[in-house]
Amino acid sequence: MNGLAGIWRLTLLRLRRHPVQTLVLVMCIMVPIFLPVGARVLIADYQTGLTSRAAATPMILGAHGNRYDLTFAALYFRQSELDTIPYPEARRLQQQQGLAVPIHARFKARGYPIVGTTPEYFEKRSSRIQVGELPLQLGETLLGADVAAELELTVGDFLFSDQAELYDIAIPPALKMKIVGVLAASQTPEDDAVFVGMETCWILEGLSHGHVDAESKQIDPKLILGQDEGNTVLSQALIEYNEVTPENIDSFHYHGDPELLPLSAVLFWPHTEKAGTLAKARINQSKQFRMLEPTVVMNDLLAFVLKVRSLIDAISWMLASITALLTLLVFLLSSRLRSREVNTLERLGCSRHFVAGLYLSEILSVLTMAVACALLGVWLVQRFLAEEIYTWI
Amino acid sequence: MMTQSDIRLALLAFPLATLAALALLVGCGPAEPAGTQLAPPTPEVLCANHASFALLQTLAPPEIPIECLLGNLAATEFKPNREQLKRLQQAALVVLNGANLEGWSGRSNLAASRVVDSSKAIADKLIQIQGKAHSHGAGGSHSHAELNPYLWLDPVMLSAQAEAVGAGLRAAFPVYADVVSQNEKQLLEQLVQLDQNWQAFSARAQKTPLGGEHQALEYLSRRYHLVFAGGGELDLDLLLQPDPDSTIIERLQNNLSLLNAVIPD
Repeated sequence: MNGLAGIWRLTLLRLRRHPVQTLVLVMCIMVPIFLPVGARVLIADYQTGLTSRAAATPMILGAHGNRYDLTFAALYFRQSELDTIPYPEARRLQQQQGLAVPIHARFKARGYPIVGTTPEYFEKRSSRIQVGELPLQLGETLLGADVAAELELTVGDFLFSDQAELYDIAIPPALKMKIVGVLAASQTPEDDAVFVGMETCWILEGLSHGHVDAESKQIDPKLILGQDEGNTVLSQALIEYNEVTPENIDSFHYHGDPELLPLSAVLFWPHTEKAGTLAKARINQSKQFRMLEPTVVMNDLLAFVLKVRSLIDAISWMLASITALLTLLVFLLSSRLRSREVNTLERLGCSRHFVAGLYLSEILSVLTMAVACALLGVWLVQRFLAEEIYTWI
Repeated sequence: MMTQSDIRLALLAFPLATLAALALLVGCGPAEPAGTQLAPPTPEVLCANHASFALLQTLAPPEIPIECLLGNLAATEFKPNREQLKRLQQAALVVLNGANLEGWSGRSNLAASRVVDSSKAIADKLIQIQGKAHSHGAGGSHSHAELNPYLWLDPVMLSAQAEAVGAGLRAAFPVYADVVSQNEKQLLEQLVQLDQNWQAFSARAQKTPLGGEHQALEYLSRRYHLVFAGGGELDLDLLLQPDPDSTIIERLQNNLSLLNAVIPD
């Protein structure tokens, strides 16, 4: 047996002989490596995700209020208490030399956000369809990949919207939506959303509905409260359709002022920088609504996240220093305890270099295991817990 | 008992574990995207009424493919099937007459930025059809009253529609913007002339009852103070049905000629 192999063999035997001591040492060294590396990797991922999504959306139009709420509602479909903006604002913005895409994210289906938008949204996000097609008509829906997988739904199945209010009969009933497509997984918020056309959102809002024709003979006369100046007053007890079918689709109609149809936000892609500046100036000067640049909002948010990372770094350095000192102490004490073992080795003819190599190989082995465990831990967290951590942040 | 080869393997194990962990960390990038990419907008202009089609024929150069999806149906009867809806969703431009003529459009998920509702800008000038609204409960908001969709028979309304369609064509096909502008200018001039002709006729008619009582004539009636009553010579088919052999201006001029025949100089 040559010297090096002997050193490694004895090292392995010793580590196997003292598994608890080895494990404690590995864990102690692993933590100060895992914490800063993990934090950096996760924050880098988070930063990339946030900034790339924000950078892919130059401007957001929405109501005044918390700008983080508006940005997260528009980009991540988070529900918020922010006021809505009227739908015609999207049309007005469209005339400002750019593409305006409305976003309506005020309802849920089995806990997932229902996002009302137009087909341009999927073009701008370069979405890919796994199966089926985009919604073409009222009452049709396109599922994100994770929604389809979690709920085990596919094209041809149905999904009910969540009932907003169980005991108020004035609130529209849950809408039975037909699934016509599923998006391919993209590791973006689209994976966890249920997409519908804008017209379907108006049904969910109760601004549009379908029922038996007010002038048809099928309607129960008891449900007609009166007629005046070209208007038939129907009872609120008249049951609305809760599903859009080829037979009843023509009966769906709007009530109220179309200028007030609510939107959560409007995404805006100006054709030129000048067009964007002009649109932003016009809207922000009017004070009625606000136009913001998501990259600016995200950079502000990331500045806070980076402060958290600096704190973790500082704690990790302190931890690493303490661990290094403790590890040194452990090895020094261990060497004293192992003086008889060293004497035996010397009597067997082992040189001082051999003994030093033995200690060094032990330290290296523990360090290597600690680094390997730390990196494995980082990978596991990145793979399985990243989403939860991002959500928490 | 551990052999020498075991020891060699063990010697390699730790560095290999580190390398494997590093490889997992660095190498696990995003996989090749799955699914089908959405098709880009198709370079065609679609509509589903004869008036918009006639406008498009006048404004668009021949290089821009235009198609009316109606077939043999009337615009009020037309309901696009799924294939047609898909085409409408992907078309570079969809031209609507508006005024509820294409009721299906309000129930379809079209690309809003590529749809031109040619009567949107003049929505406040559209004629409402009485007796078609309803509300739910006392004080409930009314459903939208139906609108008279035959606005293109009025040259002034048609001018506004032509401007909207022209703007839509220029936005969808910037390469042909100059040609579209030129065609639009020419059409608007012709419509101004036609308006003047109608005004001259109106002065002559002086509320004499004319033939052809029909909802379609309400815009002309309102603009030029004409009184349409049944039993006359006016052939409504000529007003409302497509005529591939004549331009929109010729067809509108024909309407005037028909009425001129009813009230000679």
